Amino acid sequence: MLEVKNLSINYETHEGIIKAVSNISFSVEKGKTLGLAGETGAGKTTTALGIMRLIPTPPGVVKGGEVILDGISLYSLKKRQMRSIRGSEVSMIFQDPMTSLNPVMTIGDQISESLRIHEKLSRADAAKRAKELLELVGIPGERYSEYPHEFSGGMRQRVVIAISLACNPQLLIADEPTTALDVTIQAQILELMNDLKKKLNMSVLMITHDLGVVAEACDDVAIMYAGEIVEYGTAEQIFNEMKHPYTIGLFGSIPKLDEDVDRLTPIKGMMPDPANLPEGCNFQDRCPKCCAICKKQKPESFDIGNGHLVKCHLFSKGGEANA
Amino acid sequence: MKRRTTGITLKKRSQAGEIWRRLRQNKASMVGLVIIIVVILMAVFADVIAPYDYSQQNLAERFQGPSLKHLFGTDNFGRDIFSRILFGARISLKVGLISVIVSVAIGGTLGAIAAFYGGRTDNIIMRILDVILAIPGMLLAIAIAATLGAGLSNMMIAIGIGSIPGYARVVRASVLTVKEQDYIEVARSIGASDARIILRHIILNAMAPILVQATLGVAGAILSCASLSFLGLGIEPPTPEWGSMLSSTRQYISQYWWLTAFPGGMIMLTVYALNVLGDGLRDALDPRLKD
Amino acid sequence: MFSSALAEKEFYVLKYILHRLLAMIPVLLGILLIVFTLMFFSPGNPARQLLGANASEEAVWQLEEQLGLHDGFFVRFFNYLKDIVFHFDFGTSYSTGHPVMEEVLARLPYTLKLAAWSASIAIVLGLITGIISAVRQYSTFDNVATVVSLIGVSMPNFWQGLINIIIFSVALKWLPSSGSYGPEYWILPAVTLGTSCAASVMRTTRSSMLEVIRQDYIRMARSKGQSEFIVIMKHAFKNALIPIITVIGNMFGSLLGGSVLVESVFAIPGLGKYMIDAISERDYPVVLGSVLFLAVCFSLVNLLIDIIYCFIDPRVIEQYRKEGLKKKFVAKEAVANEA
Repeated sequence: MLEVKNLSINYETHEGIIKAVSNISFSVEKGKTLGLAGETGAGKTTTALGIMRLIPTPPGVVKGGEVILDGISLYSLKKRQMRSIRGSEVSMIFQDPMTSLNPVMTIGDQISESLRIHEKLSRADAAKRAKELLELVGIPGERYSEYPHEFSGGMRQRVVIAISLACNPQLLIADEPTTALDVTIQAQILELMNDLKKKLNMSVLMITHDLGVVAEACDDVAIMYAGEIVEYGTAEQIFNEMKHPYTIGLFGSIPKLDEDVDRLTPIKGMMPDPANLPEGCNFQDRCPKCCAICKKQKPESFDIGNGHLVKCHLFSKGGEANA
Repeated sequence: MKRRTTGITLKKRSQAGEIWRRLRQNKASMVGLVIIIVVILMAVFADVIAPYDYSQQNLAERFQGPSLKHLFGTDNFGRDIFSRILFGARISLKVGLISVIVSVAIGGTLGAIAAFYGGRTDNIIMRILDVILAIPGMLLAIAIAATLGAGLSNMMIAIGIGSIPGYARVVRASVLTVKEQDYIEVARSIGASDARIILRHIILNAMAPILVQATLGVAGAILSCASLSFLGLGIEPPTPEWGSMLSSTRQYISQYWWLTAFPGGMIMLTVYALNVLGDGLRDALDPRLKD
Repeated sequence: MFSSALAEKEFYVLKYILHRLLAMIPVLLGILLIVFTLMFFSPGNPARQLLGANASEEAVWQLEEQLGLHDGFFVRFFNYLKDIVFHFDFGTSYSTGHPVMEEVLARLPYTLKLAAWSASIAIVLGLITGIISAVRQYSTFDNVATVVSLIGVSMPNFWQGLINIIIFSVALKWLPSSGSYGPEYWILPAVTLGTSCAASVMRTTRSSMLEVIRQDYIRMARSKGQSEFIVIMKHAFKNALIPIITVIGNMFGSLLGGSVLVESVFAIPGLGKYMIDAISERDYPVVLGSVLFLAVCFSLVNLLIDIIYCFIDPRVIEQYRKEGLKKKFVAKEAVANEA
């Protein structure tokens, strides 16, 4: 029910043009979770902000593409129309719960705010519903009038979830929701999100750099690298039949409990500077399978069956893999 | 900013050079610096530049407008305003500079002592400084100047005392930062040489904010000096302080605009230059603070 | 121990207010000490003033003894305190022989009126331009406002007053230049004093707002679909207020000090002008009594601001509960460097 087509987003600074997101396409189906995975700096957050039309426009420029939510093209909407969709049809959870909440407003008021904007509830009704939402995420309703600093990190993230779910959105974008939390709390939060997702029949775009989270929570996966989606498919396809050299490197660099390994094998090198992307494939400097064409031409996304897409020359019609 | 790196060798600029480079990029600050240098030159070479003596009266030539003979016109006693302004620069700069230096010395010492010894000493010193801060600066200066009587040095004291707490806090903060950082090292190592290292650290650390605050402080001191002399405190006629030049010609402002414009304009120009320079210094010394 | 979490919070708010009130006392004592010390060392002999220049040495000495002028420093200080605290006796004017307190109270309303108007102008002007500058950073408005505020800070307020008189009273003849007989008489003085104090408010508002707008919770508010206006005014502004209010507190100090100059320029019969006239007449009790009075007013304003803090930011009470009354040295320093 969310379709992103050929989205490109740049940041234009006086130091140069930063190509944060280049020509990405993906979709999230109703009731399913798409995991957007990749390293820091790959463009995941920018993608999320792009969907919400929250890219700060002095430096940011949406160069092209479409975002279609439930049949509505978001970039064709007027600002006021977009505002009525933000928070009610699609909402977002940010990474750091410690800074996502307004310190001088009670958590209850922050939850009620969405309700009062979109569902035009009165103060009292909004408060009542907010208390229900608090209970839903596992916080006693009486804590409605408390302030964020009175809550721990995990609790605050629950409040943030409550805020984002207040108006029953169709799509929830979660930008690294558990990264700033302890491991034990992480599990709780993921479980909570899963429960709520089923209850409300919601779609989720889960942004993360943690492959464990991907495995745990996602139905489909898109692997992002240097602003592009390099591999895309269902969780099974990605985990069991990973094809792109980057994906392989990513999974190969995780320590495994059941294998005896002396050293971890990281991917050599670093992600290219988004202000200075190379000609040809973005992964060329780090790819063990790099060849001549990779340095000159950017690969396209090739379908290798059942909707499993890989952006690599190896999988082109005349590529190695198909040879 | 492009860094030229030829091979492996990187040319390391000294910290001072880096700061100067950043400051140079700030056009407004450079303008301020130029203005201040001009004012300083005016003050230093007043004897040479001034076409007339500042107290030389010529009642036949009273109230003349700006002309080639009298660049800024003449006042109610026929004195050449341009010459008076030149000598006035001496007074303003003198008062500004000396009162700030004394404040920094006293305030800095107090702040350092407070931070170094901590505990009760810190508490007592800061409380006393709080009392000084509790009296609005201008009022304190007026009270002290009135009690001490006329004279430049009394005015410097009056202005200086009010700014002591500000510098004390700056130095105290710097010392506290260093204290926290080097505390462990101090605990481990012994010897006088370490004390010297720590002292150098502290001075280097505190130098930057003190410099910024002092520059802005001189601006404030010049304003206070002008205000006090406008009110009739601290300056004896015929001393050509810019502020007193404004008060002595009060009754004529409706008729002869140059009597008001030039002295006041000089005050504004000098203070503006110092403010802009101070702001630029602040940005140059710690670019992180900028937006 | 407490009936509810709310009751507990309310208790700590009251305790905080009381604590701040009590903390003011040593400061007031300090101010009294400073003023008294100045008084002690000021030239001028009250006895001689009262009796006149022709009085005999003996008569003067006798009166001095009577007035307690031969007592030691601390005895006299103690008596001074007693007079002030119990009798509100700030001394007697050398010139008129009337109690300083009386004269001060007669003139205070004028100064308060000027201060109120100027403060309103300064705060409103400063806040609005600061917010707009922050929201439209680097725009023409921002650049112009920054330059104008810098010029405003550099201009001596009495000079600004004189220039205003030249332009608006003499040249354009729109407004009167002195006196205080009607509302139009207050426009120039209030604008003069107000605009000179607005600059520091504007700069702090701008930098504080810029800081706050960058925060995650602002993005969060936008992602709820909240209108930009409310995001800025309700979410951002309220969080930006703490340093702004601190600066406004300091501004009152400049305001009270500046009122002396502005009253002098515009011949407003307030406390400031009274003080200045007293200086030329060497009427030290009046000068110092007025300074004392204004300093006490300033302390009360700062107390008010300290109290306002805890109603804006709930974390203040939380910190108070855990750590007691720690003055915000860091915040005030950063602000002092700014202003």
